[in-house]
Formats: sequence, C-alpha cells, structure tokens
Amino acid sequence: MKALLWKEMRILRVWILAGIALVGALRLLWIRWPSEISSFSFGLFAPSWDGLIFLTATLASVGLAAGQVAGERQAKTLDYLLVRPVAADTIVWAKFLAGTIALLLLLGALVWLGYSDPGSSDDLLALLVRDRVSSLRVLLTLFPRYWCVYGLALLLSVLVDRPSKAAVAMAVSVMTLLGMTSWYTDIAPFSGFESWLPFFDQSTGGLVRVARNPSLFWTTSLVLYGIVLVAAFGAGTLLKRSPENYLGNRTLMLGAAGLVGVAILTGWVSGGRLPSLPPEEALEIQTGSAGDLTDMAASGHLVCLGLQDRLVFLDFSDRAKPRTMADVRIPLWTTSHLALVGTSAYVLGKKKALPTDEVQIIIAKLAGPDSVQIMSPISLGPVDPRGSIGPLVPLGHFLYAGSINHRQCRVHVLDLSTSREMVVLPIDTLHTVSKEQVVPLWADFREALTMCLRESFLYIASPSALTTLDLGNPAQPVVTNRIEFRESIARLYGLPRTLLSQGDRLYETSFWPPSLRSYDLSDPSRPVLAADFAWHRTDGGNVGAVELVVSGPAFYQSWRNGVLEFHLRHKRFEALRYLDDGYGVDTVAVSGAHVYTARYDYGQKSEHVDAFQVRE
Amino acid sequence: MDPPAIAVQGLSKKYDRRMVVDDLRFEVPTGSVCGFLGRNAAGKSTTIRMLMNLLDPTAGKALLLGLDCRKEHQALMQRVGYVAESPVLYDWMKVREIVRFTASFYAKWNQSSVHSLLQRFGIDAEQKVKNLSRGTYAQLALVLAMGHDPQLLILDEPATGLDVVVRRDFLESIIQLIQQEGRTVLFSSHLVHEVERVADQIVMIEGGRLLIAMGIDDLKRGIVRLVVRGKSANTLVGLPGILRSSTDGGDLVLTVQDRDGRTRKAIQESGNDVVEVIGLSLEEIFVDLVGSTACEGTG
Repeated sequence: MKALLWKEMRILRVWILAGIALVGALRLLWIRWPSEISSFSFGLFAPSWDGLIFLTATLASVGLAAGQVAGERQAKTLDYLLVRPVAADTIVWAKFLAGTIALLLLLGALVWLGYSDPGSSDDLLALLVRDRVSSLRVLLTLFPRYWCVYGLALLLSVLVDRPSKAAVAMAVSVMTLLGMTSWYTDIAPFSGFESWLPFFDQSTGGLVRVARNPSLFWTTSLVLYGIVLVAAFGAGTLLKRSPENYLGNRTLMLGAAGLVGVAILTGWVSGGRLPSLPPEEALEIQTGSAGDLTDMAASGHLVCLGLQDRLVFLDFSDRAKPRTMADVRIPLWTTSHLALVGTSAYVLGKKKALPTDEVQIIIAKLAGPDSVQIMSPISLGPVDPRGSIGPLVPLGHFLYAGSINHRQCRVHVLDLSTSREMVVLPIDTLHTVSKEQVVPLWADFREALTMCLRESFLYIASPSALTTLDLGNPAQPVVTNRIEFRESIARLYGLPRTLLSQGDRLYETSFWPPSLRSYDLSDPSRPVLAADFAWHRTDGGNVGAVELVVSGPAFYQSWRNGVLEFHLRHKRFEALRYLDDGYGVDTVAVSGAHVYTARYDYGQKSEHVDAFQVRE
Repeated sequence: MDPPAIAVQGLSKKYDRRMVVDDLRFEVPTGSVCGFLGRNAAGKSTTIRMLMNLLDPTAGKALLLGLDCRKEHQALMQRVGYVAESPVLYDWMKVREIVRFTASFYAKWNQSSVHSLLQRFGIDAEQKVKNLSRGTYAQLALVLAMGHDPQLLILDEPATGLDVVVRRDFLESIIQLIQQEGRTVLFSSHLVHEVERVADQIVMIEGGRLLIAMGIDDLKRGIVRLVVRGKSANTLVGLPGILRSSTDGGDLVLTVQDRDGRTRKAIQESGNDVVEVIGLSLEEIFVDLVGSTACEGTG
C-alpha cells in the first residue's frame, strides 16, 4: 500500500503543482490588476474567486480521478499491477487515498489563497464569504462536495477504458448537476434541494448557509462522504471482480441520457408539486416603451399605474369585465412612487423646472369614469442629482415621503388638507465611505430608503439604521427607536432593504446571504431582532429593491414567469403556489384578497395587468 | 507425485459470438519448460491472460501450482512470474525505483539475484525506464518477473517487437535463466524454432482449440513422415492418423501421427511399402499439424 501510495502521489504531483502554480499566478494577477479583472464582470458576482474555485476544483476532481484507472488501463500499466500479489481493491484504495490528498491540498490552497488573502478586497463574493465564515469552515464545506465529484469520477474511471471517456462522462454529470442546482433553486425555492447537490448556486448564498448551519453542514457532509466511500468501494469491487469489463460507448451514451432524463424528471416532478394559479382577470394598457411603468398600487378593486407622466386607473370590481376607468396625464415629467388610498392616488415625481428640477407630490382623485381631479402639487424642493426620493406612505390626512438629499435621509410630513409640509425629520446621515477607498455597489442610493406602516408606527430602513417613528400625533411624529445597521462589507452600504409587516412581526430583507430578518413587534415602538430566515432572491443579479409584498399570512414575490406565494412554517419559508403570469413580472401590488401583477408585453407594446384572487 | 504446475480444465473465452478459446484442456508437469505454440491470433495470449486473471473465462477454470487462478490469485502471484507480450512498465520511474516498487509487493524478494541480473544485462539502475533500449526494456521486465524467485514463470511472446539481433540476445538470456533455475516455465511463441531450443513440453493450439499437448520427444517420435511406394498408394489418403499427403515422383509422402505404429501397419497391409521413415523438426510438425487443421476448417 505504501509503495502504491508513493507511485500515485508521484503521478498526481504534477496536478498539485500545476494547480497551485496556476491558482497562485491568477491570485497575483488579481492583486496586481483587480479593477481590470473586475471589469470583465457580467453581473454582480462574476468573475469571482468563488467561480475560479469552482472551475479549478471541478476540473481537478474530474481530472485527478479520470486517469487513475482508465489511464493505466489505456497505457497497459494496470496489467503490471494486477499480476502482483496485491488485491485489485487495494490498488483502487491507494489511488483513492492519493487522489483525496491531492484534492485536499489543491482545494486547501485555493481556499487559503482566495479567502485568507486581504488582496482579494475587490472580489465581493470572497469578501462576503470571508466576512461570515472562516477559511477552514469554507474548506470543510466545499471539500465533501468536490470529493464526491472525485469519487464518482474514480468509479467512472474503473468503468471505462480511456480517461477521456471518464472525463467526458463526468463532465456531462457535472453539467447536469449544475443545471439541477440552478434549476431546482429556480423551480423549487425554499426546498433545500441545492444544499444536497454537489455545487452551490452562489446567488442563494448556499455555501455560507450550509457552513453556518451545523445540522445542514453535518447532514449534507455525512451523506456526501457516504456517497464518496460507496463510490470508492464500488470502484474497488468492480476492478477486483473483473479487471476487463468496462462500459461500451453505447452504454455510456445511454447512461448520460439516463442521468439527464432523471434530472429532468425529478425537476419536472419537483416543479409540478407547486400548484399553479392562473390569473382571474387581465387588462392591457398601451404604453410607449418597456420602462414607462414606474410604480403600481392597489386599493380595493382599484389599481393605479404610474407611467412616467401618465396615471391609469383600472377597475377590477367586475370579474367578467375589468375596465380602464381613467387614463390621464399629470404635470410631472416622471413619477417614481405611487400610493393609492380609496380613489386617491398620491404620486411622487419630478417636475421640470429652472434652474433645477423639483420634487413634487401630485394628488389625483378618481371622480368617475374618465374623470380625474388633480390637486395643486406639493413641492419638496429641488432634486439632488446624487440623492433619491421616496417612498410614499399615506395615513389619514397626512403623507410621509422619504428623501435622500445632500447625504441626509429625511422623512417629510405633509398635511394633505392644507397641502403644506408640516415638518421634516432627519432620519439618517450617509457615511462617507470614500475614506476606505471603496465605492459602494449602490453608490447612487436609489431606493435606499424603504418604509413600512403598521398601525400608528412607521418603520424606516435607511443605509445606517432601522428607525421607528410613532405617528400617534401624525403631524409631529416622534422617533421612538433606532437600531444601528452596519454592513460589515463597506461595498454593500446603502443597498435597499425592503420592509414588510405581518402580524406582530416586521421583516427586513438582507442582501447576502439572502434572508429575511424578523423583528418582534410586541412593543411596536421598539422592534427587537428575533430571527433570520433563509430566503431566495429571485431577481438574479438585480440588487435593487425586491418586489416582495405581503398579504394576509402569505408573502408574494416576483418569480420566474409570475409570482411565488410562500409562507413561514416551522421556522422556514415554504412555497405555496405559483401565480402564473406567463412572462416575467415587473411589479406586484396587493389589496385585500387580490394580487395584481404588471408586465410589459413587447409584442403588443402594452402594459399587461393581471389580477389573481389568492383568498376567498 | 507433484501436481501439474498448470492444469487447464475446459477453459473457454467468447467475445460477442466468437469463440477465441474453446474448451482448452491440458497440463504442464512441474519442472518442465513448456512451449505454448500457435499461429498469430490462435488464442495463446487470451489463454495466458486468463491464467493471470487479467481476463474472465467464459467457462472452465485453471489451476496454477494447485491453486485456482481466479479465486486464489493474490497468493498465487507470490509464486508466479509473468512477462507480458510487449510489457509496459512505468516509464517515468528509474530502474532502481521500479525494482524497489515491484519488490514491495512480495513477501520474499531476491535482491542479490536481481542485482546480479541487472549487472549481467548491463542495466544502469539510475537510468529512467523510458530511456532504455527495447531489448534492455524487455530484459528489465524479465528481471522484474524473476525477482521473487517464482516457481512458475509465464512468458507471453516475450521477444515480440525486438529486432533479430536483440531478439537473439534476449532469448539467450531467457535460456540461461531457465537452464540455471530449473523452474516450470510456460513460454508462448508463434516462432517454433525459439521454443524448440528450450522446451521439453509442447502445447499447440489453433483457432482456440487444443491440437496437441505432450513431451517434445514423444511428439517427435509420434509424428513422422513416410515415403510410401505401391500400386494402391492413392487409397491410403483416407486412413486415420494421416495429417498431410503429397507426392514426390511416383511416391506418396505422408505425414502421420502414429505413436503406436498402427498407421504404418495398415499401410503395409494394404500392399504398399514404406520405403523411408523421416524424422521431423518441431517446425515441420507444427506446419503439418496447423495445416491439417486449417484444411479441416476450410474443408
């Protein structure tokens, strides 16, 4: 065994040295030209050290194993070993041990270079991972996954006569598993499927989630270790039983087709487990282009759409005949936020003015069919090109509007009966992050302020805090609580955190790993952080505000070609239904038992609004 | 009495629908040097690979040194040495390394014998295997197969691929080793004269089937060429034991397998005279035996 191990290590030495040299060279390139490498980015996370680890470790896992038996079989040196007084399975176990050591060394070097080196400060994903999990833990989480790939590749290596066949067969398997990881995350959110597959979909933060969750870490690791050992045992037994039997090309092709078939079948079964709800009613509104829709709000059966300088009121009260109640132009060149109470729409937007555009609030009241009464606008002052406006929350005769102007986050309290600004409350001051020479991902702070109204309390998530406003006296709100918020990664500063309330809980989205933080509102004036639930962002690389709303006991989130209905059960989210809209949804609004979705129909060049009745 | 060193019992190997080895049965006595003869693709290597447990037999079994070659493979390999047809060694190792690597598998390893063999063949222990000439490469394979002093040595066309001069040198070294040691040797070849120099037993196969398995002296005594003269010579062709017939002038020349003299007696009783009995070389016997089988096969 010792001599066999020596021989295997001598053969694999090339792999280890080449792998570490390649990775070290890339690391140096990364440190030397970080911005040039980052400029190849296609989204938020690419190219990343994580992607490099995936690529290198997968190639190493397959490459190390593919030639171990099939290569010796092709070179005919396997016969040399098989006519020695050593059991065939001992030969395989020696190879397995050597391959395992090589993989561990290579993966260890990759993880160490990627996550322990401060030079990787430009690699956001590496920073995010390192911030939450130690390098050792990352290694221990990744190792069983790549080891599993290695073990299966070793089994394939015994089953074929050429290393190229083992490599191609394993590449098909890896691609299928990757597809499954991504697909299952997509079709079966919250199912936990992806934790069991050999790879992580990093947009879900699976690596950190598994690494930080002891039970998930141990169960997945033990299962994967079990698979590896069974694969190695199988490889040894097969070679011992018959050194000459291997699979022909036809069998391999059938096997690959079978694997893909099983993946599709399980995906189809998993996808089909989620009931689908078709829209009840639909309306089309002609628009100029795809980006015209800025916001949508619903109240009762009335839905209001903000389309740049247009407001459209839709009536869904008659299930058989939904109709457009009014379609009017408003004196703003663009709208940004919309709120609807009864038949009154509150629109926050910008008006062309000299020398600087103005932020204005328009109140439009639907008086009847094709009759909209537009009140005189309320001005919130000039537009700060580096600031942002919104959101807008109406309560009785008062309106609360957020703004970020000259690095100050404020809430404007407006009296609707007098159309006057009563008071401006400073909520937060943006940090100066330039000292750290780091530009935040969300440097323009669009939608960086979010609000959630619950009874007479207004909760405001700003870049540095979660602030509670008591609206007991709506004209003079009082700050009752402020929970400091600090992203440990400076680049994440200012990313929008959507707020939602359900029952006595307030939920706040957390960017990465995606989760919903839950605050206990037993004392609504002082939210207390209670739990953090794993959640799926389903908006890809878009780091902006999430289309996430709550209605009754359920959450609704844009997902695939529609909306996902999910709820919290046994301390974890569980998908309930799929509100199938046919295409990707741009905006979601809820009112009572209805969920309304809007999407742009490129064929008809119109905005398509669907209504789903989610409760009786 | 010692059990036979090799006892092949109905060994068969089928690839798809083609029988490559068909119900092969023979024995090789302990201490003998057995020439395993057959034309190219006669099934020699397939048989040997089954004996070495590198191939699974479709049917039958084989005992080497009294042990089942499949079930007791590991124990058997401590006592058997094998040189494959065109042996492949780990090219990247030095000679010293491959000797040490090979030695590690065996309970007993005769390092001094290996050392002296390396010296005799002029193999530099510090040289990389890939840098050895073809002849030296084959000699090294032979040294590695001998290092554990095997009781049974199986050589599968060990000189294949070597040029005439190197081949001769290599065969000389094999002969020296065999003569010195007195172990059982199975030596496969399609070149009969190579085998004839060393073998005392012959196993001949053709088309996967056994033609003959016996001592070389018995074989030479048993198969002779007869020159027959007589009026009814043409009627003799159908007699049993006649492997080949031809005419030479007015005489009939018959190659006969006639260990007990019955065929000769039958010829004389039919009124013909055996005017000359000619002893045959192994190569002539091989050609006549294989030729008669080929005629049967085609006829």
